[in-house]
Formats: sequence, structure tokens, C-alpha cells
Amino acid sequence: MDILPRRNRASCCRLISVGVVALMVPTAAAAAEAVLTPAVVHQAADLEFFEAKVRPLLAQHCAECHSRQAGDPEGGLSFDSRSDFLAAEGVAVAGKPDDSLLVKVVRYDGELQMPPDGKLQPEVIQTFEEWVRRGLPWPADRTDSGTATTAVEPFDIAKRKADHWCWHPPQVASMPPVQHAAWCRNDIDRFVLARLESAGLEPAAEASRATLVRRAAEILTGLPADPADVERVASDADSSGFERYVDQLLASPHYGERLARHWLDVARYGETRGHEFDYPIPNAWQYRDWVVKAFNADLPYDQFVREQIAGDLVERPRVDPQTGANASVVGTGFWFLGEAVHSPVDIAQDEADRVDNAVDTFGKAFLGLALGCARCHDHKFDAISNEDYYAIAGMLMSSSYRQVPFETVEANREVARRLVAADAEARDRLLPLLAATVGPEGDQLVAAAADTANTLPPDPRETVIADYTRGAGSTPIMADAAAWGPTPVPAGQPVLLPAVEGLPRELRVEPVGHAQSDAVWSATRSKSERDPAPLGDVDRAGRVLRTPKVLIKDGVIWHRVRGHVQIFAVVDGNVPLSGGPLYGSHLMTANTGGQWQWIRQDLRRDLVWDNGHVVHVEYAAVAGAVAVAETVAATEEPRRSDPPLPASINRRLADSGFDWNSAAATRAVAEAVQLAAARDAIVADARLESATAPAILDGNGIDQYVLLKGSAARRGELSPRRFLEAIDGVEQPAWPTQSSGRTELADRVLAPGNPLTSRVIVNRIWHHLFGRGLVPTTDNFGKLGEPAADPQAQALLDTLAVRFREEGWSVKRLVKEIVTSSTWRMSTARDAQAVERDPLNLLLHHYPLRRLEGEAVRDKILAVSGRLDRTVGGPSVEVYVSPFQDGRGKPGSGPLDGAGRRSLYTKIRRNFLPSFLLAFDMPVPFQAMGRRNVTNVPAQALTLMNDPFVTEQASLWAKESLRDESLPPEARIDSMYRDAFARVPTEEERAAALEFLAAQAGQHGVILANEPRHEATWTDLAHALINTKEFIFVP
Amino acid sequence: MSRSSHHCGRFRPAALSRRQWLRTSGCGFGAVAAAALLDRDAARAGLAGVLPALHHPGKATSVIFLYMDGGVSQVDSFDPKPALEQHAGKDPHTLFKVDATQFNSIGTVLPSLWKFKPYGKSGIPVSDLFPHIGSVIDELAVIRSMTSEFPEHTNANYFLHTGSGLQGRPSMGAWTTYGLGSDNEELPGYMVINGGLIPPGGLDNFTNGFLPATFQGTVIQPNAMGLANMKPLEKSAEHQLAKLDLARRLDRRFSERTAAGGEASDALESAIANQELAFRMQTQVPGLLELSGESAATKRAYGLEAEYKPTQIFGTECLLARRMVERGVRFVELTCPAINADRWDQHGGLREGHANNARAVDQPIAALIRDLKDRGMLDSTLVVWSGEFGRTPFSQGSDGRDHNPQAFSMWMAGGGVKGGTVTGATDDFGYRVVEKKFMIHDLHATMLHLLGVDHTQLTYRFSGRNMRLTDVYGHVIRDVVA
Repeated sequence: MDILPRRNRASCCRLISVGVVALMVPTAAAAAEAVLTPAVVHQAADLEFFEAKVRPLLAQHCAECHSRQAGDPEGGLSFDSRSDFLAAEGVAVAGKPDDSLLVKVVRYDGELQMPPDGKLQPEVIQTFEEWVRRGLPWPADRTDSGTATTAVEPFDIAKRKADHWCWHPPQVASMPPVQHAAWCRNDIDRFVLARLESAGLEPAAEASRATLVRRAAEILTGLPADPADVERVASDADSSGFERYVDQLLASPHYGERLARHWLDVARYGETRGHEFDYPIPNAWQYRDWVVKAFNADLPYDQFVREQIAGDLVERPRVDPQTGANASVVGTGFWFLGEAVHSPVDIAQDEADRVDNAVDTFGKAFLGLALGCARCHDHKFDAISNEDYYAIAGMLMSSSYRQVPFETVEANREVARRLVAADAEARDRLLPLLAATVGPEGDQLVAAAADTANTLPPDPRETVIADYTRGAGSTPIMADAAAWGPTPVPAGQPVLLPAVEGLPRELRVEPVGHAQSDAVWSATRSKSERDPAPLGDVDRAGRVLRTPKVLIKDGVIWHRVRGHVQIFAVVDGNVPLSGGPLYGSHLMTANTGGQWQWIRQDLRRDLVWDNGHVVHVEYAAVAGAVAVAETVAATEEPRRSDPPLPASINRRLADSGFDWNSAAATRAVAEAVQLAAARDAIVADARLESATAPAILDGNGIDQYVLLKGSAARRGELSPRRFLEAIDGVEQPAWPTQSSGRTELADRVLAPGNPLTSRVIVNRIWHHLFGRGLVPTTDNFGKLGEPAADPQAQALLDTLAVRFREEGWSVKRLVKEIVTSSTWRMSTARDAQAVERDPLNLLLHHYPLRRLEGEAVRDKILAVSGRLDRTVGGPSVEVYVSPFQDGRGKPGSGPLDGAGRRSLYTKIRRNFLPSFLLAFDMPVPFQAMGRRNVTNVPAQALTLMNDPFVTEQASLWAKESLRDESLPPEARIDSMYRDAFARVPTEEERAAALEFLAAQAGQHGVILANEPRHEATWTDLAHALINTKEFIFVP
Repeated sequence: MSRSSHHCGRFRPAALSRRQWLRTSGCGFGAVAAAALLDRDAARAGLAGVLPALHHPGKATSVIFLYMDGGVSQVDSFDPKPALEQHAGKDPHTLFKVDATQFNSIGTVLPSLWKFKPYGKSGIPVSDLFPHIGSVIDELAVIRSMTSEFPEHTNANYFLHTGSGLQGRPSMGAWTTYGLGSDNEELPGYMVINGGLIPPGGLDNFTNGFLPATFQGTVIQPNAMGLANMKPLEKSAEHQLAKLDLARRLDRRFSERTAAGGEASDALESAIANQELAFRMQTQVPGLLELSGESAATKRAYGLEAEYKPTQIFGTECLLARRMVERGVRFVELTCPAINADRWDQHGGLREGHANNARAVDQPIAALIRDLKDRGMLDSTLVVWSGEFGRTPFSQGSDGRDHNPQAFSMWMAGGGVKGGTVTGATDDFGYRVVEKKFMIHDLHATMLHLLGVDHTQLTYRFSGRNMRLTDVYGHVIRDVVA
């Protein structure tokens, strides 16, 4: 009897495996028996009891989530019939309440507690117990026939894949035949024309050269065309004049700025965390500049994607030849641009929510898939399983946040590598010399130097989080930059003691292996914003050692450290955005004064530890050399006996009878002094000052549990890290355990077999150039998205996507191909017949008239007024906060004109978004938003009419146009038209402007003829022109 | 108010184009055809909403949402719990399962600091915090079994306002206006009167989210300043008008030129129309804010002359709310005045903090309800009073209460609500709901129901889904519907 669909069966098992494994053993047989003997006859009194007492309880407390009638039962468990209970193994074992999961969960006896919103009254629990004891009496009815189960359509990936276009690999289509082949400049035109011809429509005539220049400038750079360019290109008789102008625009740094703003919408880019107090995301603008530079350099799109997913892990990072800065790692800031909560009550849930935003943004940005929909259940429509979601979430939960000193990390990595080599050389050369000074034991020392194993057997009361004492067998070093070197220092490492006046210098050996940050690294300085206090009390960037993540149970951690160190226990990935009110115990500092000590950290006062938490520790050097030997979770102080040989050697060397003036000792010391000098020379190469950027830090790979209904409190089955089943199948090579596996993730996103990645970006570019994608829902290619309008549109997208990949992922090349097509060059003429047939212009019978985005409107105002500062990149300009904006975390206002910088450089504070841009539909950055709203609201008109910024700029524009004293008014009007509209006015328009000027001069009490350069009058004209639709709509 | 005072007849309402309606609304062509048959949409003037007709007759046409930011303590306001006296000073863990709270500084059981007494014919008990509201109790439907899903402000605020704990979803005011439009073409349909404290989560509590920007909450201040960019910078209206006239003249040419003999672009025409609406709003909004025409008795009743400054502020907010509803604004939300830079969020100093907040809102709210009733507007105006959650029945520190999303009290009045009733119940401690548990989605479903809207049928296509204010949840709270 197959009561539940296959998949729900699996879910049942998943549910039952939660923390109650022991329960299954005694009950399996009973359950099997019950299933095999369904024809139980119940006494009338029992049935009455069921109807009177139990059925109402099931309806009231369970049915909301556990009923097929209510759709998609939670965890696949439905309680619509007795068979449902019996089929779900162990949930209700007839006659045995104590063995029944149902009873256990309503008793709130263990991790799984139902109903989740509060424990039931004792008498209700007793009723459930009684019902189970009586053998689950339930009258036979139609819903119990086993046939009612077909209502739920099983989740079948293969079927969903087969049924929806986006999972099918794109193919290059054959060129469709067209009648007017002469119209076609390239293959895009063939597809477009074929569609139009088959609909009996004609493409609109080509727009004028001047119009094309304006359109290209404003669409490709977001700035108005230079009037000189308009004139030159418009009068260029050469047919390739426009192509050359497009090349010029693509080479302009403003192209990268424009494309970057589009991408920032996708990356839900913000520079603060939102939520209550809007804390900063320090140095987020470095990511913004990374995007600008990537587009300007035409970084191949595959690399652009790879560096955002795993730029920290690329084998050979892009290094700036001049500065040596690592350009690849900054892309990973992508993961941390979302919102965050400063003191979440439930940090595990908070982590789940943050990861959800990152997974959702990742899915939409690169794959055009709503992965977030699969957080609580299998996707309702797409071939994305609940497991898929957690397989990817695991990679993020295996990684953590850092500020990376990207300018120096590569250079310092080399320094750190040389230091380790120097230390190895010091061992090789000094240990034999030392051996000669201490006699026979010394020989053993040489041999034993690397043998640093802690010989005690593992203590079952301890959970070792990190152990750096075991030389090559130690926990691998994971660090935010180079400071902790590639490998730990082994026990037995010779150490030259500081010189003491009048005494010979002495040597010792390290008693225990450890990870070490040289004193020089405590002198590093970040030039950038630090993380807010208290975390940022230490200039952490570049100084952090990160342990693996481990599930620990008791909340007490011991750190065996030496030196002055900040210790930050990162519980469930929670990084404090500020001080308190919760989790003060997670952050502490210790200073052991050069001695090894076990430092105790008690995390119990901030959290309940009944079910444990996943923890990793970050150590940051505060001052001087810092060393970490072990990180252990245990309630009692761990006991260790250090390796005997180094200790015994040190005892000898420290003995007052040891003769440091002996020839052997003198030789050893002399050698050590020489080696130390060589080491100092290496240290001198360390670069101490760097800018920093938010970036991801890789960790050990940990797999995630499926969280039932997305709730961190309800763990299901483990979902090992892997890529989407619909694309790569269930059997995938195992993901690495020493890394999060983001490299593998990037590989799968970019693999030739991935049908989505190239289509998604080609469609985004098309969307930006035409105002509508071939697939209109740019961020959702799934079943719930809107598909391409017809097969030709799909074929066009697929053809472009395949070529884009095969020809090297060049975005500039794609842009040029589209922009130089005849399709893109059509005018905005709206033929009535065509509009009647195709009102949405899906077939592209004309170029759509489009309103500029808020950023471009504002930038254009600055450009025409002459106020525009064209500097590319750099820290953001504080946002202008008007008296009408209020709320917690309100910043001091920036300048009204944003210091003349492009809108891209206005600081994006989530709770104080720029009001000018908001009025013009700038999206609230909470999720990927590749397609903006384009609205028409009075607030936009009010902004252009009354915003003091606009009137201020109008006045500057007037001043600019009055600068040349010799010009007649007509010439000034012409010049303003050229600035704003890339054309000269018609006679009628010129006359209207002159008439207006005369009338306005009268309003100001002057006569224009007498005062032809009256500034207020010309400001009125400038303001009126800004308020025309031609100013903000691109023809 | 005169709607025919425009200086020419060119002005027309800005709205979603017909095409946009069909594309994004859940009703599709069938519903539009049905609307033509019912001929109900013809009755609606002003900014049109997406719904061509009400789903069912609804009494309410406007909503005033009195937002009690920070969370009022239910056991100190509308949910008396004498049992707290018996257990005063005990560790709550010994009495019931205590959930994690924001600050997790869990003290002992704290009985109400205020006495309750029955009011009105219904005899519903109200605490001494709200004697004025008590005096209109027979208009109120008190719900004692509301719950939230979030124990801290920002998410709970988003949840209360948008039905989702996340930032960026459309607010209930945006949804309402999207569905029903506004009855005044010179004012936005969704207005927020900012008493001085924008709630945690910021302006996104009032956002249009993915709905078109027409529906976003327009935040105004209850003083002469009012609204951003509303004040022309020109010396005279004529001066500004001359600029707009030139712009309009040039726009006509631009429209013709870009259409090149064909049809004009919708987007362009709509932008031209919006400039005209914007021009009208400049005169309408200052008139709205001008209170000199209100009688001295009205002003006194609302507390405009009260000694306590926050009472004056909230009184002005309530009076403005009435004036907006009179002018056809669909959804008005009031936020709390700043009282020592805080609102109802008394983690400490409960006695003073709650008393001051009550002092600010009690008299104005009662005056609003009476005034609406006297003017015959209460039946068509739904007044909703709620915080984002309640407060714990045990103390935080010695004299505060922490957040309690497991149960809280709210009330509704007017607009087809059954007054003088109490719905739902909490346990002996007022900590958890034991009877008729409702969630925010139910509140939203009920508000829409009273407006004649089926919450499952008011949808907007976004990200490939038909989105709803109530997501996939929500049941109308029948007990409060008259």
C-alpha cells in the first residue's frame, strides 16, 4: 500500500530521524505489523472517543500543517487517516504511547516539539496518549481508503526538468529566412525581422544619427552625449561612424559605472545593514569599485562570476601590476551585502535567514532561479529540491566574514612563506649545533623535532576545535591574510632569547607546536573603516587565525595561547554589528605575558546550549608575537603533557651550570644571530598598511541539515554540499572537506553543461539595452517567470548565449553587437497598426521610448549644469538627508548636490536611501532586482519641480550658458538644447523659449532686451527644460 | 473642497494603465468584464485602484491605523489578569514555559500596575491607562488573542505592516490603495502622519515594495511643513505655472515627434499627467494641514490645547486623519510622538513610560472616534489600534516588561466592526493565547474584508507569483464583523 508518494515517504523518514533514533529500534516491527494488518475492528466506544475527543484535536492542533487537504503536509506527514499514521513509521504505534513519536513530541520531550507554538494542555496530551493506547481507533471512511492520496503531485525533478525550457541546454539556432535581408546588419536583426515579417509588420525606420548618439551615450554610460560628439558623428558620412562612436563609449570609464549600477541592483548592494540601527558594512564601496573596474576592463563574465563566488580561492588571483593588490578577492564581498540584525534573539535562526538571503541572491543573480523558494520545502513549481537549497547553503555556512587587506595580502603571503622557510632553515642549521652542546640527548632532539604529537589519548569529555601542536598533522591554518603563515611552528623550533647586557645570548627551543603570528603582523594598520566596536577595537584585518567550525555541546571553550590576543568565538556565524545587548561573552581579549596559558571562555550566560551550537574561533593578534596551540571545548581545564624532549632540552639550556661560553654554544648562538638577522631582513619586506574590503573567508566544509519549514529549531536530514540535482544529477563527486567548496560551486555554475548562466547574463544585457529582456523576468527563468514571447525570441537568446560563452564571455562584445544592430537603431515611431497588433512591442517593431533611471536623471542634471565631478571610484559621498527623512541611526546629512559625484557614489544607507533616487524607483536593496519598477508618480514631478537640488543645478546651468558674454540669446538656447537633448531646437521651440524668457523677465521685474543675461530669468528656462519629458525620456 | 477648481480641464487622474491592470492584477479579463456588468467602478472617482468592483459589500471605505509603536502591554491595558496578583514575585519558569526574549533578562511575575474597571453598556474592562478610550468602549471590538511571529521590533514591524518579517514588501496601506484607489485625485491614497518617531525598520514600513510607486505611503508631518518638495520655490504660483506651461508645450511636441505619426507612448502621456497632479497637490496639501477652520471645541476635544506636548501632537495627528478621510484618502497611518525619545517600548520604567504614552494618545483617540461618529463617518471609517506585539507578564529588570509576541491585545472600531465585544483569550497570565489565536495575516484579511475586499483575490504579479498581503495565510476574524 503506497500511501504516500515516494518523496514524502523519504521526508517521513527524515522527520523521524530527528533526535529520536533510539525510538525506531523497538517500534519498527510493531509498525510493520500494523501496516500489514490494517483491517482492525474498533469498538464503538473507541470510535466514539475518537470522534468526540481526538478528531477535533487533530483538526485544531495538527491539520494546519499535517493535512493533505491543506496542501503540502509538513515533513510529508499528513494525519488525514489512520493509514497515514501507520504508514509514517514510528509516529503512532498502536497500543504503545511511549513508543510513539506523536506522544513524545506533544509532551515536548526532546528536540522535536509539537505543536511548535506552545505546549498543549495536559489533558489534551493525555487524550493523545489514550488514543494511542486504545490502538488508534478511527472509523473506516472514504478518506481512509488510500485513494485520496493522489491529490499531492509528487516532486519529480526529471519530469519538471523535461517540462521547462530553462533546464534544456541552449543551442545555436539556424538563421531564419527573411525577405528584406538588406535591413539586417547582423544575426540579431535576422531573428527580429523574421518575427516581424511573419506577423506582417515592418520595423520602424532608423533613428537619426543624432538621436542614436544621444541614445547610445545615455544607455551605455548613463550620461548625456558630448555635443561635440553629436556633431561629429552626425555629420560623419562614413557608415561606420556610429560603430566607432560605440567603441568610444565602451572605452569610456563611465561605461563601467553604468553597467555597475545595473549589477548592484542584482547584488542587492547596500553599505549598511538596515534593520534597527542601520550599522555600516565597512568598506562595501570597494566591492562597488571592483564591479566598475570589472566592466571597464571587460573582465570575462565567467571570471566575473567566479571571483564573486570564490575569488578568495582562485589559484592565481588577479594582481594589480602596479600596487600588487589582489583584485580577485574583493569580488567576494558579494556574499555580505545583505541586511543583518544586531542582536538576534535566536542566532541559529538569524544565520539561517542571512544565508537564505545569500543563497537566494546567488540563485537569482547567476542562475535566474528562485532558490530561496526551496528553503522550506521542495520548490512548488521548479526542479529545485529542499535538499538542493541546503546543499548550497552548506557552502556558505562553511565560510565566514572578514575584512581582507587586499592591497598587501599577496605581498605578505610571500613574506610569510619566506619566514616559514627561514624557520625551517634555522631548525636545520641550529638543531645540530644545539645537539652538540647538550650531548647525546641532542641527537634525539634533532630527530624528534618534528615529532610533536600530543601523546595523551583523546579525552572523551573534550571536543577539540583546533590543534596546532602536531606539526604537519595539525589543523590546517586558515587565516584572513598571511600573518599566520602557511604552516604551524613545530615544537623544538630554536628560539634566540633577547640580549641581556653583559651576558652571553642564549637559546631555547619551543616547548609545544603552535600557530604563530610574528610580531610584525601586530603592527599592520588598515587604512579603511574597521568593523564597529567592540570587534573593531582591534585592527583585525590581516591578523585573524580562524579555526574550523565544530558543533559543541556545553558552551565552555579553552584556548591555549601565548601573547596578547583578541579571542572571538563565532557562534552560529554571528558577527556582532555593535556592542550588545546580547553575546558579550563571545568576544574577549587575553594577555598571557609571553607564557603559555589555558584561557577559559564561558559562553553559557548568553545562550541555551541544550542542543549545542556550531562554533569557530577567530584569534587576532593585539600586540607582539601571538601563538595559539589548541582550542578545546570542555567544561574542565584540559590537561596536557608537552613533548618531553623539548622540555628536557630547555631544562638543560636554562640550567645555571650550562656554559654559554663554550665553543659549541658560542658557535650556535653566532649562527642563530646571523639567522635572526636574515629573518629580520625578510620581516622588513612586510607591508604594513592596506585598504580593506568585506570578503569571504573559507573554512572547513560542513554539510547542513535540511531545516524543516526553514526553521533552525527543526533539523531534518543532512544534505551534503553539491550543486543542483537538476543540472548535475544526484551522484556528484564528493565536495571537499577542507574547504567550503565554493570553487567547485563556481565550476558548476560555469560548466558548459549549465544551461542557465550564459542565458541569464545575455538576457540581462538585452534587458538593459531594450528596457525589457527577451525573457522579461530577468531574475527568474523558472516556471513562475515569464518565458520568451515566442520561439524565435527564445532561439535568439539561446544563439547569443552559446556564442557569448564560446567567444570568451565578453560583455563589451555582446553590447556592441546589440547596439550596432538595425534593431537597436530603430526609431521610437509607433505605427498605429503595429501597436494595435502588438501593444507591448514584444516583437520590437520600434525602439521603446524609455524614462531614464533616477541615477541617470540626477547625473544628467549635474552634467548639463557643469557641476558633475567625473572622478571614477572611491569612498562614497554621504547621502543627503532631508528634514523629511527620520528614523533610528540617522546619519549626518551629506551635501545637497552629493559633491557633484555621480549617483553611483552616493552612500547607500538602507534606512536612508537617497530620496531623489527613490522617487525614481531605485529599488530597496533587499534581494536581487535585475528589473526595476518603472513608475510614474507625482513625487517624480514634485522632485523636478521643487527639490532644492534641482533648482540649485538649474541656476548653475544658467550661469554656465551665460558665461560667454558675446552670444545672442538664440545661441544660448541652442547650446542648452544641445547639452540636454543632443539636438538644436526647432524654430518654434526657439521662439517659445524666447517668449518664455521675455515673460519670466517681466515676472522678475526686468526687461530682457535690457538685461539679456539676467540670471534668474535664464534659471527659469533651465528649470523648465529639466521639467520637460524630453529631458528624462530617451528617444 | 472643490474638485472643479483646476485652472483648466486638462487634468486627469494618474493611474495604472488599463494594460497594467490586466497584466498584473489577479482578476484578468473576466473580472473586468464582470465589473462592467456590475457597474460599480463607475462610482469611484479619483485615483483608480486595480479592483474593478468590490468582492462583496463592505461598510468601510477608509482606514485609520493607530500604530502603537513599541508594543503596549496587554495585561496593563485591555486584558486584565488577576491571577498575576497571586503569583506576583514568582519565577515565571515555575509556572509556564518561557520563550527566549530579546534581552533574556527574565525577572519575576509582575501584576498590572493599573486598576481595571468596566466601561459602557458592554462592561468591558479597561485599565486606568485609557479612561477616555474606555468612554467609547461600546464602539470597540477588542481582540485579546493576537500574536506575532517576531520577538523584536524591526521584523515585527515589517510583519505587522506588510505581512512579512522581511524588509521591502508592500505595506497594508499600499495594498489597500492599490486595490481600491483613492477618492481624491489631488492627494495620495496612502498617507502616514509622522508623530515624531519613525518605527524601527524605517520608511520601509510604509513602502509600496514591488507595487507601483503610486501606492507608497506619503509621509507627512503634523505641522505646517507637511511634505517633501511640496512647497514651490518660486515667488508665485504664476511664476511656476509659466515654467510648467512651457514644459507642457514642449512635451506635446516631443510626444508627437517620438510617436512619428503613430500612437503616443503611454509612459510619456502618464508622466505628463502626473506633473499636473503634482501641481494640484501643492495647493491641496497645505489646505489639508490648515486647521484654523476647526472649531475651538473640536481642537480642545482632540487635545490640541492639552498641557502635555505629546498629547497636542497626537491630537493634531488624529484631527488630520479625520480631515484626510473626509477628503477621500484611503488609508491613514499615525505614528507615535517621541516621549523621552521612546514610545511604548518599556523594558524599564513601565509605570512612567506607559502612563506618558497613554497620556499622549488616550484623549485624542477617544475624540477621533466621537468626532467620526458625530459626523456620520464612523460607519465608513475603520479605526485600528495595535502595536507590533505585546509585553511579558513578568518583569524585565525590576520595573520593565520585555517583548511578547505570543499574545497581545488590539482593537478595531467603526467600518462595520461589531462594537462592545471581546474576542479571544489568553492564559491566566496573559502570556499565551488559549482561545481563538489570530495572527497578523488574520488582521489583514479582516481589514480588507471590512473594505469589501477578499484578501485572497487582491493580488499582484511579481517575481512570477501572484503576491498577496496575506501571502498564503489569513482568515477573516468573523467575531468582529457586525
